[in-house]
Amino acid sequence: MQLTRHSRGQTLPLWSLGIGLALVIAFAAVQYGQVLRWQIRAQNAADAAAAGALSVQTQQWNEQLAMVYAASVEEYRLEELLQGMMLAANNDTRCQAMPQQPGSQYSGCVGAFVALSTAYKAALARYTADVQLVSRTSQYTFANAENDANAIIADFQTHCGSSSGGDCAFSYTVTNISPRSNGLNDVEMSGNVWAINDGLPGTPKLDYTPAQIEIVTCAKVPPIVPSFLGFTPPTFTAVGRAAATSAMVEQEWLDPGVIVNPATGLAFQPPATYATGGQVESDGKDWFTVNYGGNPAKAYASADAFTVAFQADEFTAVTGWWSTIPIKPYMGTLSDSQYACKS
Amino acid sequence: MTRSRGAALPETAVILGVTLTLIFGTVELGLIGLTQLSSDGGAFIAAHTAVFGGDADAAVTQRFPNLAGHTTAISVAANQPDVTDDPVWGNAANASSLTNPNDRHGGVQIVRPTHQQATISNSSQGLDFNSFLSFANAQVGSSAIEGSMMVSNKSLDVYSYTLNSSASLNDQISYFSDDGNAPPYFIGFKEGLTCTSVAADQGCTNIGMRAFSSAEYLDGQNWAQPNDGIGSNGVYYAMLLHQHVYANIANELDGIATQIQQGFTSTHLDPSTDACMQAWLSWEIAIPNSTGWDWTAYPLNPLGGAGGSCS
Repeated sequence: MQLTRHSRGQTLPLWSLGIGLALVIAFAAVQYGQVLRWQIRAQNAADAAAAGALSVQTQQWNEQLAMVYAASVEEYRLEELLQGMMLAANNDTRCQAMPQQPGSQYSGCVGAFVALSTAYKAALARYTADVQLVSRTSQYTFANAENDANAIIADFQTHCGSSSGGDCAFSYTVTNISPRSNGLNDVEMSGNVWAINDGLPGTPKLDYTPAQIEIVTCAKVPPIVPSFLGFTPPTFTAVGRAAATSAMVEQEWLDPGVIVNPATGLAFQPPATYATGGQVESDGKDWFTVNYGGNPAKAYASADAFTVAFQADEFTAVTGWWSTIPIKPYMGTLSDSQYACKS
Repeated sequence: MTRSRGAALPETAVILGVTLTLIFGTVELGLIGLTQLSSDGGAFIAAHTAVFGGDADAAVTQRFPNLAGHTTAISVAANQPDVTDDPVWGNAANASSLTNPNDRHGGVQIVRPTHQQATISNSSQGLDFNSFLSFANAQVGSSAIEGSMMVSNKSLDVYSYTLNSSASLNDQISYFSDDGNAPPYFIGFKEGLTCTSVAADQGCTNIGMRAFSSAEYLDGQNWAQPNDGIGSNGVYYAMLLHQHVYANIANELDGIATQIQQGFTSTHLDPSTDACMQAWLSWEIAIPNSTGWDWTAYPLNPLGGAGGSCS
């Protein structure tokens, strides 16, 4: 009977112990989840910042390469028109029987020359504008890229919480911006061959070297569990590290005289005839038509190469588009003093 | 009183049983929850590590040692990237020009995110009192996907794959081991029949197959120029030079038009006498129809004689 009397009194401590233990475990689980959630959030914030930081360098290069392509098309046109004018200005047999050209009162080679020279001047005006734009878009230095990347990260902080900003919970620190020069391949071109990676290292100056950047995001996060019975759960630090580099993410080889522009259903650069009725060569060459042509290339997968037999006019462009891709953080162990941490 | 005393034992037994069940259940749920959280974080870490070629197992066990003590399986699989809609390279009208290995007129290689999928499964994380009470076989699992930037259709699609074909999506290499890991470049490759000499009232007197040294290039030959832009010693100085030569030729055209209306009594645009045409011709490189792969054999000369008196 003594035992039974004492047993009745043990339910309260048992409940208390059980509830206390359950609460401790529940709080631990919630706190652990909180830590993990913040670490993942910090990493995602760092990933996003790193991906965006070098966007100005990549966009500047994209603009520059697009303008170089436009100028290249126009110079090819000037080159072809010039040759037609050489023939017409010297009364070549290929233009002597040409009819009167539209907009001209002359026929024969004189009419052809007038038509071609008009087109030449128009092409020159476009080429001049393209050259000026190439000049403007090719002044971007590595120092500019550094400044822009730092400014973008600062904007991430300033405009945090908006569509153009980062995660307000974190401090963003650029721990490094540097040229990614290791492993770059050389690109060369001659009259008969172009090579992307000729076995030599690419040796650009700094302004044409892809940048790499490393970002740290950091926040000191208060515990989600409140203080109780004199016990205060510690603040923890959520840190994210991410790096990115500029990369040519799409590389294109284009015969614009052959490849079809889906917007028009025609080749990107279809033949343009500036004087009609001329005598055409046996191989189809018309000296008064600008033909971007394109000789068929043969692919040799085993040799990692293409070959072309040069038989007709050809304009080939090979270039690409830049963006950023993530890379492994490369700065090694960082000390706390190398990055800011939001309290 | 007597009845009350007599009920204490069964009451205690019932209460104790319920209490212990709740306690163990709570503990068990907590442990499973902790493992699930660890597993979720581990999958994130594993996928992130795998993207950069790291050891996913080591990364997970280093950061989540509580997983290492259980029966944990960590697997990482690289799955095909999403397909790339491309109105040009995926256009049926261009299919033959891009995929016929004997009649190629272009190609594209694209960096696309291969799906690095990390999966963690854990089959033993609960309390275990052997035969008395065991929750040791509860299952948790987590998965995460990160994009690994890989090059598909490498070497400008030298394999002549169709864009988005399984072959192209399966055959990927790292951007950093690809040929195209290069500084920004532009290749403007131009060749064709060219008139190189003229005579009055006879027209063109010599025609040959030539490559044209376009001013628009960006590669190993001008990457290291000291200045940016088109100015002297600039990366694109050749463009300024070519523009000057073309503009000076344009200045001749009205006079030529006037003269040839009177008759073709003298030569015009003659590379042998006209400084601007000489400058232009100096950019032309004679090439045979078949030339081999030596890129040093026919070096281009976009600066020519720097324009001579025409610049």
